[in-house]
Amino acid sequence: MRAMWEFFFGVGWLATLTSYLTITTAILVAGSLVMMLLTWIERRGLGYMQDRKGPNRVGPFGLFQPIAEAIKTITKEDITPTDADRWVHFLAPVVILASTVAAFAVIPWGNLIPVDINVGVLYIVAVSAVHTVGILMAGWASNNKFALLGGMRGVAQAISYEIPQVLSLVSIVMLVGSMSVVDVIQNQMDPYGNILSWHIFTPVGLLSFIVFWIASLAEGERPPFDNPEAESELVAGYMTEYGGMKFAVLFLANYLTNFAICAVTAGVFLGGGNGPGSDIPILGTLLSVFYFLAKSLGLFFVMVWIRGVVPRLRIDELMHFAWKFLLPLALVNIFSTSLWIAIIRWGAEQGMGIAEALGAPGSIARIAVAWVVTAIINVVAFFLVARLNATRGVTTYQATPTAV
Amino acid sequence: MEIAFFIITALLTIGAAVAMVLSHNAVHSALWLVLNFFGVAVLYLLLNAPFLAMVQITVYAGAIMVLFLFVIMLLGSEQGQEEVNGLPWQTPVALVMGLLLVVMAGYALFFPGTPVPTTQTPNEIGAPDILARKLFSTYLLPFEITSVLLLVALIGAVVLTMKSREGDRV
Repeated sequence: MRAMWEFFFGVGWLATLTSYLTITTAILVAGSLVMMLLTWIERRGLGYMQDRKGPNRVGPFGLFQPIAEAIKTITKEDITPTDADRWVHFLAPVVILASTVAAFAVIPWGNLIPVDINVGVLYIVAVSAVHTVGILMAGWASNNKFALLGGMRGVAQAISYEIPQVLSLVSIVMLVGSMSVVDVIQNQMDPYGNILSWHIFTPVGLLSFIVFWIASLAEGERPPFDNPEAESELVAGYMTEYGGMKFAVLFLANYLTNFAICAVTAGVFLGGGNGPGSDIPILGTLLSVFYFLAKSLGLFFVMVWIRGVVPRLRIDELMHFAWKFLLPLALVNIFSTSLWIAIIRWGAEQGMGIAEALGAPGSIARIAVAWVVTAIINVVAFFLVARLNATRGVTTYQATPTAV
Repeated sequence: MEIAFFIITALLTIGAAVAMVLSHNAVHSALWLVLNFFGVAVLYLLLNAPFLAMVQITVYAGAIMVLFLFVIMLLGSEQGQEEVNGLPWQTPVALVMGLLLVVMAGYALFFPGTPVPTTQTPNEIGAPDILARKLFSTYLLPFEITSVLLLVALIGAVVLTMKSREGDRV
């Protein structure tokens, strides 16, 4: 794109600007289309899980239902409550949507990569952290007790679950040795198209995936972690005082966050766009986009599935789960990741002379030993933490009920 | 191009800082401060330090300011009461210190010393792995002291909650 523009017009910065504007437009359009598809999948999927049909009147299989809804929300009246803080109330959906869309800058759609920066993983964490500022703004500016409570819950939850989420990504960054999203995906490439090279198929990667996925569900406010907008208690949480287009923007941001979570999980743990034939020059790119979307939408279906099956957690249970279950597991996983790296890659130089007996770095014997050692550590840690929570957790609940 | 970008960002950062001090609503102040942190993060990016910029956003704009906002909203103390200045000696001291800072900055600007030669190119200095290597070799002691400091604060927070819990039982 850039080279072509420079060839025709020869203006450097204009070329950069135009190419990035094109990429941004593509992301926004694709994002909105995917969001429409996601709402449809969610409603139809939930419908079948609950033994009803779901929206099936507008278009084939109800596929055009999201378009009808979009027209409805656009034509609705835009209301700001009298006692609301006008500017903060207006800016909150903007901040939330902007932080969500910003994450897509580094998410690769198969082989198509918008931007590759050397701190890509950290960038995703950083922009999703800004999301919480937007939630607080929405909750506070509405000048409504339900909205404020929803905002508070959203922030308490987002900050708590951010920690296991980031720590589980640390293991993957350690494995790869780089924070670039492209490097993370490259690390899962196998010259023989072997899917066992995906991160999820190692003991370290599997535990990391479990922690990351659960923490991400909470970050994206998906059921069973949707306390910030718990309909039965808080009307709609921090979104209560939003109507019309602003509500549509919040809704869009919500589904884009969910899609970003699925896309990042697919990229970091399931090999992104890797699959049979994804390295063929032009056809491979199309194939890789297909694989990427298939993996991401598959993960989204798992989200819907969880929503249909698991009831909502109480707020204190939710906090205990983050701090007493996920966080220790993520820390143990960092430990076993370092063991994995030490056993497989290190030699006498780094003080792992013992490992030399098993063969050269990267040999089958070393990988086998690393597999067994880390698998034992992770499984033992999982059951130990679960057991400790089961025996001690119940008594502390009754002794000190926390109120948030 | 870079200079223009720098000037816009710098003006935005300073404007946000001034607005933060001048606004009467504590929540607005905190939000201006978030904008200020973003400006600083962009300045880090201009200095080829992407890692530092991302950490700035995650830690300051994302975590610390959110906790500030959380506490302000929880206590409902957005509108600070107009009270008499409890620290009257603070104003002259602040003026003198501010003036000193301006003088120092001016001195550094107009009489630049010889820059310290570095072996890395500017692109490499801010890279995460080089930063990590420096942090765990040359600057190990300050790093460890900082972590001990944070640990002490953490233990302090735990101790504070423990005491109130025992008080409830008695």
